[in-house]
This record gives sequence, C-alpha cells and structure tokens, in this order.
Amino acid sequence: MIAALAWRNIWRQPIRTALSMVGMGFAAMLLVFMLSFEFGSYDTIKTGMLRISDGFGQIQPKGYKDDPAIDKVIEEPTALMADLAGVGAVTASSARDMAFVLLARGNLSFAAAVTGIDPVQENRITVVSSYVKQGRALRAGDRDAIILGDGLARNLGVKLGDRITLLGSARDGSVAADVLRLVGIFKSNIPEMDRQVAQIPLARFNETFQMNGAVNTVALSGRTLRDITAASGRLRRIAARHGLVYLDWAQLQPAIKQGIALDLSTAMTMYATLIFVVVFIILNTLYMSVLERTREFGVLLAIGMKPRQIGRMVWMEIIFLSLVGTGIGVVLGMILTGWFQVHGISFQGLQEVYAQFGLPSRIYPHMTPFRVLFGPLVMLAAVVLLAVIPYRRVLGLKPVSAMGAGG
Amino acid sequence: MSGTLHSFIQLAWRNMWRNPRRTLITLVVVSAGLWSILFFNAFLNAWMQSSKDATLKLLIGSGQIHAREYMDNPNIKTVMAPPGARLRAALERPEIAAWSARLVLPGVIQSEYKTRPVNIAGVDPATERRLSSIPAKIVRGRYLNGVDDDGVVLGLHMAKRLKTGLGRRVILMSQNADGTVSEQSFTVVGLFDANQKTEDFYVFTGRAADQRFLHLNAEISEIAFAVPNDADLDPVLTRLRAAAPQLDVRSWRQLSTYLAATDSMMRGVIYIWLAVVFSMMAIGIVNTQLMAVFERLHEFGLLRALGMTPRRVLMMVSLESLFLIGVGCLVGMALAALTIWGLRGGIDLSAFAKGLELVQGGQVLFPKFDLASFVVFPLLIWLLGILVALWPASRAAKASPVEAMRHAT
Amino acid sequence: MRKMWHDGKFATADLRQGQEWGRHAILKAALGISVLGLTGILGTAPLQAQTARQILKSAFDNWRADSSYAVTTMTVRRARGTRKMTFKSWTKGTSKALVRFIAPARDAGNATLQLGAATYVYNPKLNQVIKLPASAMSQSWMGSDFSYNDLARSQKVVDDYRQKLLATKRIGGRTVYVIEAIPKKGKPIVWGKQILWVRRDGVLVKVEYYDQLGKRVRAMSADKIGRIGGRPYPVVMTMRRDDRPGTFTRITTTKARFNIKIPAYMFTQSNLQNPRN
Repeated sequence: MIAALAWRNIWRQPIRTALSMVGMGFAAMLLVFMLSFEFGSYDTIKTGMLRISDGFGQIQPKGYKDDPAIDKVIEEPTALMADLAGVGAVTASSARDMAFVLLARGNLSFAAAVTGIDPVQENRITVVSSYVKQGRALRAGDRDAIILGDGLARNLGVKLGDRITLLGSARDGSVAADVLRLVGIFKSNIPEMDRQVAQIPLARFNETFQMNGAVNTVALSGRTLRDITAASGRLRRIAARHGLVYLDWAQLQPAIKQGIALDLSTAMTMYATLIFVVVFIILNTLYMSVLERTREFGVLLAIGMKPRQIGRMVWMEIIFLSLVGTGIGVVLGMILTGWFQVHGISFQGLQEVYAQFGLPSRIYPHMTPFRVLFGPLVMLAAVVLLAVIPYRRVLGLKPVSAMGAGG
Repeated sequence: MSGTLHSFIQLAWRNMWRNPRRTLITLVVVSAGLWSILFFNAFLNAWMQSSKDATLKLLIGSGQIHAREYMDNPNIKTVMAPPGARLRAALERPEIAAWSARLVLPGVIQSEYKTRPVNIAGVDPATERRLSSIPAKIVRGRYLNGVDDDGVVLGLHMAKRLKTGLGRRVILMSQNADGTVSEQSFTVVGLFDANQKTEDFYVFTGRAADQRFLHLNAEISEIAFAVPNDADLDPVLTRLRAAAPQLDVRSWRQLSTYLAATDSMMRGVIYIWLAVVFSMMAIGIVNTQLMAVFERLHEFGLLRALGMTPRRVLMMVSLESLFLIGVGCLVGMALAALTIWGLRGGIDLSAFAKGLELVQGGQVLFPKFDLASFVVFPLLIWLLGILVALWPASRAAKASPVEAMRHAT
Repeated sequence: MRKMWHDGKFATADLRQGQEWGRHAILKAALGISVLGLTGILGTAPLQAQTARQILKSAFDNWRADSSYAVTTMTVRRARGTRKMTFKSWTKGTSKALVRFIAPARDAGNATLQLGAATYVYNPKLNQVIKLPASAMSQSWMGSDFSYNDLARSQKVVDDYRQKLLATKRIGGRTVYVIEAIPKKGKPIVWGKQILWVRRDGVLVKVEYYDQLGKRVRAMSADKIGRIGGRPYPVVMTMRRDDRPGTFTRITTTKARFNIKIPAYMFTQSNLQNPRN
C-alpha cells in the first residue's frame, strides 16, 4: 500500500518529479555515452594499430614470436586457412613468409627484413598499400617485384625500376639469392618500418627461400576486432589442432595493451569522481523536495501515519523516481550513442595526420551491456542507498511543528 | 530608483535566508558543480600532459637538433660538432629547462648467445637526469657515472633476450670514424625498465667513452632539449633555428608524428569529457533552481496579490539568483583552486595501476591552474543559473495572483 | 681446419710469418728469460702458464699455416634433416681465406672471401660480390653452426686470452693437455672462457666455449684423427650448440696440402667472382 501511495505521490507533483527524473535521466544518458565512447576509442586505436601490419590475430609456429627463424614454419597453410575460413568472424587470412636478409645495390648493402605476401589477401588485413607514396604496391601477378620503406630506399640509393639484390639463408640453410625490381616505395612514418622492411610476392619468396609451400605465419582479420576476440577460443583450438599457436592482439602488441590499461585506470578515477558529484547533486535536489513537503508530512503524521511509514514512502518515491529517470536516461543514451556508433565522431585537424598512418579519423563509440548499464547502475545504487538521509530526516518529524513549517 | 534598488537588494538578501535549507542546498549544488568542472578541466589537461610526457621524457624531449642529413640516414658520417657559442647561448635561455648532447648511432650488441642490432647512445648522465626519465628507471645496478663511464646500461628485455645480466660483458660493434668497424667489450652496469620498445632499441654508455670507442673527438649526433611550458615551444624553436641555421631543429611533433596524432585525439576526447561534465553539472544546477522557484510560486502569487508588479517580482528573483549563484560560484572556485593547489605535488595513480596488474611506475598527474577556465566556466554557470530561475518566475509573475496562489505545496 | 705440424717441438723456426713470428719469437725469448729468472722465486706456476700458452700458440700457429689448400665436406644436421656440402678452400697467413663450394649443384659456385677485416660473399645466381656489413658477421655461415666471425677470427684464443694448464691426461695412449683460456681484460670477447684439449703433437682435440656464468654454450670436438697432407690432423670435427640438442655441423677434410705457393690474384674480389681455376 505504501508503494502505491508512493507511486501516486510522484505524479501529484509533475513538475518536481519531472525535474528530478530529468536530472537523473540526463546523467544516466551521458554515462552510457561516455563509457561506450571511452571503450570505443580504445577499439579504434587498437584496430588502427593492428591494421598497420600485424592483423587482428596471428597463427604461428610454437616459439616463433620470441625467436623468429625462417625454419619455423606452418607446413600446410592451405589446410589451416580453410579451417579459418570456417570461422564466421574471420573475413580474411593471409599467409606470410619472413627472413632477415641483405639487400644490396652496387657497393651498398643493408640488412633488412623481407616479407613474402599475397597482395590480394594482405590488402584485406593491412593498410600498407595505402602507405605507398611512389610507384605502386604489390599486386596479384607480380613475379619479381619488391617494395621498400623510403628510409631503406634512400640508404640503398635506389629509385623505381632499379634492380635490387637479395641475399639470405633459405629454409634449409642454403644460400637464398635473388634479384628483384623496385616497383614501389612506402612511407609509414614509423622509422623502423621505413628503414628495415621490404615486401616481395609470396610465390617468389617461396621459390627463392626453398619454402616448399610452407609459410612462417598466417595473419587474420575480421569485420571488427571484437568479432575476432569473441572467436579466440575457437581460433586457439584450430591452431592447436595444427600444432601451432594463436596470438591475439594483446600478445601481438603488448605495448598497446599496457597503454590502454593505464589509460583506463585514470579514466576510472574520473568516472568515480563524476558519479560521486552527480549523486551528490541529485541527492541534494531530492532532499530539497522532501524539505518542501514538510507541511504535507505533518498532516500525514497528524492523521495517524507513523514516521517510519512516511519515511518508507519517501524512500520508495525516490526509488521509483530513480528507476524511471535512469531507465529513460539509459534508453535515450542508447539512442544517442547508437547514432554515433553508426556515424562516428570526427575531430577536425585529425584527418590528415591520421591519414598518414592509415588510421581511421573517426572514433566510434560502441555499446555493450556492461558499458551501457555500469555507470547508471552505480549511480542508481548510490542514490537509493544515500536516500537514507532524507529518510532519517522524515523520521525525526513531529506533527505539530511539521504542519507549522513554512513553504 | 536607487532607493528602490537598495530595498530590493535587501529584500532579495533576506529572502535568501528565510529558507536557509533551500538556500544552502542550492549553494552546495552550484559550488559542487563548478568545483567539479574546474577540477576536471585541470585533471584532464594534466592527464593529457602526463601521457605525452611519459613518452617524451623517455628520450625525445620537447625537441631535438641534428645535422641536416642525420634524420634520413643516422650514421657516423652525419654527426655534428658540439654546439658553438651562439647555439649554446640560445640553449641556455630560461624557457629551456634542460638540454643534453648525445651520440646515438646504430650498431650491434653481442652476448655469448645472441647478437642484436641496437642504437648505441653515448650520453652525459648529469644532463640526461634532468631531461630523461630513464636514469630514474634503473631497477638493477646503477645508471652511468659520468661521460667517461664505459659501462653499458641495458633494458631489462634486451638483457633477457641476450641472456646476459649485471656485471657481465657484452660486445658493442659499430662503424667508426676511420671507416672500419670498432669492436669493444663493455660491462653491464645497470638495467632499466621502461617499455619494451625503448629497451629493445637503446643501450647507453658514457658519451666520451662512446666517442673514444668510435674514434671521434667531441662530435655528437643530437641535442635534445626540454621546454616545460607548451606556449614557449614555438618561440624557442625559432630562436634555435636562427642560432644554428645549418642544423635541423625539430619539435617533438615532427619527431614522433604518431604521438602528435594521438595527442590531437586526446585533446578532442577532453573536449567531449568537458562538454559532458558541464552538461551534467548544468542540469543539476538547473534542476535545483527550477525546483526552488517552483516551490515558491505560491509566494510569488502572494506578492502579486499584495501589489508587486510582475517586473518587480522578476527583478527580485534575478537579484536573488545573482547573489545565490554568485556566492555558489565563488565558493566553487575557491574550492577548486584549493584542490588544485593542494594536489600540485602530483596525483600518483600507481596505486590504481597495481590494482589492475599494470604497467610499471604508474602515471603521476600534475594539475595546473588555468586562468581562462576559472573565468569562463563560472561566468557561464552564473548566467545559466540566473536565466534558468527567470523562466518559471516570469511565467508565475505574469499569471494572475489567484492562480499563482493556488500552487500550494 | 688446416694445421701445420712439426714433430714434437714447440718451436716454429720455419715459419715465415714476418711480424707475427717476430713478435712471437721475442715474446718466447722474453718469457724464456723471465722463466729462468722467476723459477727460483715463484716455483712452477708461471712455468705452467707459459707452457700452456706455448702449447696453444703452437697449435694455432700451426693451424693457420703459412698457406693451405683443402677439400672439405660440411654436414649440417637439423631437425628437418641433413645437408652435405663440399668446398675447396685456400688460406694465406691469418688474414686471407677463400672458400668455394663445389657440391651439391644448388650450392656450387657460392664463395666467401676473407680479406683482413672485410668479408665478401659471391653468389653465382646473382653474379655479384657483396660485402658483408659488420652487423651480418655474426650470422650463420651457409646455415651451419659457424658464423662468418668464426671463420675470420681463429687466432684470438692465443693472443687475447690468458692460458692456464689445467691438467695433463693420457687419452688413447697419447698425452693430451687440458688448457683453460680466459679472455684478457678489456678484450672484445664475449666468452667467459674456453677449455681446449690439445694433443702433444699439436692436434686440437676439443674446444669448449663457456658463457660468463660458467655454463657451456657450444663445443667442437675431433671425432676422428688421422693423417692428411703428411701430418696428424682432426679429419672429422663436429660443432654442437648445447641449447640445440640433436643438431650439429661436421667438417670432414678429405684432402689437404700445406705451405704451398698460392698466387696473389687468388685473394681478390675479381677472382671471387670469376675463378681462374
């Protein structure tokens, strides 16, 4: 019965109710947006960095990550990639070979890491082709083409069309030697990449380094990083079936993981403070409205209601108010965030800079049940718990003095 | 008229204190709201600065000076002479908190088990300590003693990969000034723990020891400098370029375009945060004000019935809000200033970092006092508070007294 | 490995090594004097040190003979299988060496030239001579357990280490000296120590390489000692890394001639690319 009374009370003072609900609703809406945005921005950063060359995940021979050697191979890449194709989350997989070689032209020779790639598949996983500033990226059908980072090209003193010598160790240890033609020069603005990395067609690498169809790693990508992360269990099992290991994004780029985690800890401090202040303000408002109703409570006391019952009624009013307000706020928050989730938020001045790295210049908030509900629930819980303060005030009321209180 | 104004002021003031609780609550809400806006602004800017600093303070600094060809091709042929009198004078200016001359060239480090390519950095530990955070990140052994120290300081991860450790010998090899390859054994005197990338790419030794190793005299490869105040950076760069037109002077933004991009993004994120915080606080203040005014509709009706004109009712409400919000703003500003001043020693987040099993040596944030925000935000809140109170008041004031009085609580 | 062998003696009066010999001779003379002078005071310890060094010196002096020519088969065993390559090699003094592969067909024609501190490689498919940058010197040579460095610097254990005779054993009816060599202070040597087994007739029986904490990293042992080029010789030597069990590189010398005349043009880049023989 008290509950029913509480419910009706809320609607007796529509303006006051509306104000309180708007307050909480607005805060809830913003919290939904903020958390989704925060984590969404992390996703954007991760995705951007992984698309530079690692891919969203990789399958490698055991021990390859710590000590990449050309004779650590995946013997049956086709079978592996067929299995990967069966995983819905995976939209592309690309086999790669890698070796440390000497690239030489004339008298100059420099150590470099050369990767053998399949251009068609690679383009669905990395943005390296967008880094090519002179000439062109590798494409299907290339036989003896090579592309280099601009630092490496400068060191070797080569220009498009020049022939470049490659000398290294093949898979069986014998000498791998080849001559390739420079078709493109890329600039990633990452010095290590620009000074040490070269790419040649996978078929050529296979031939020159006696790979016999084996490859060193298989990188994969999906529509979103989240999809791949969700499928990591399956991917690990597939890797294990082939006697290989699966490395997820955190293992491929531990620095990003550390950076994000540190960022998150700071952000949490902020959210905590924010919720604290918001709750504080909301409570004050609710308290104020309770104060304004002192005379009303006095009447209720006079007609026989117990202070505790009135107190419970007030508490229930606060609960209902908070639930409805927060609920509406969450729904509105989801609509607002949903719109940005599709369209993204762009920052002017970022476009050109990010374009250099092939990173997306729009940030997309992304909702998950956790991100949507966490903030509002904490706020709700805090308000409902702290409502004990107006409750206590009501308990202390005496009929006569209450009725005589001013408005 | 001034007499009326005077009496209105008195009326307004007395009105405020007729209902102390309501007044107090409004004051609390306004000051808490403004405090949080100002504090968050300082906090977020400190956060952005700290993230940037963490990376810049490792090795980049605010900017660096090289010989013209070094950045394209870092090798022994592209070193430069130590700074001359003009450049030195430009570097000794107060805006530059510290500068350090280094010899950084690519080479190879070898242990019993492994050989790895690496950048060999010959530094002056005294100036490095003021510029870089690496000397403070030593976890085993010690940092270098002086420019003649021919020990080597490695990253933890590098030591692990090489399977070497403190007190053991490693060999450094690099192309020297005579065109041949210098090869020398160095004892590992210290291990530092920064991030994997720095640890994998840099080893440190004394600058003079490095110059001897490479058969150089006093040549260096770069000068890194720190300009703590962002606003000073561009003028400093201009002055340095003028003092050394034959050299290549770059800011950190040009040295690490990736960091510059992330920095811009963080700036954007901060604007969003501030907008959100401001909206939340504004709504809270709006809420309080509206509620206060709606409670008083009955009272306004009474005043109208007693003969007060609508305009006068409005004026009274305005004056009340002026005082109330104004005082709230002042208190909020005072509290914010106090908090920022109290935390100027730095907020250490390593407690959180540990709790989340994170990165070593968490971030320390240094909130700074920003005059612009202390003027703009209070002004905005103040105006907002007054306007918001006026809206329902004007409606009530215009309505007939009888209707207004019917708005009994 | 080629070795010059002189019956039973440490002295190497026949060596025409110029400066090196001169230096060694003076050193030997100086040591001889000091031994005489110190014997009474310090007893046998300095005598042992001197003896150890001389043993080693003669073994290595003889190793890098005045000149040599050899035909060698190198067997590299890895987890995946075994590879066998055959090469011819010429050396002159300690700073010139030419190695040319003749079998199997895939590897034939590949050649390495060491000229002082510089190392050049030639590949017939490229038809180009490439100078190895210093950073590549520690990389594996032709996929074996030897690096380019190993090929180039074999004398260090005599000059840059301090030697101590650990024991004298009798193995297979022969006297074998066990010598511990520790790098001298300040030398650019990464090993903690080497332990070498040298037979009395100068044949190197075994070399062990240890890290600075005393853990063995790799070992080279003579699996078969025979006679070649007119002298006792470790005809089959095997190098094994301790952290890679089941793998090894084996050098089998099938033909060798020592102290022969080698024309100057042999050790040039043009000869590397276009062999005249």
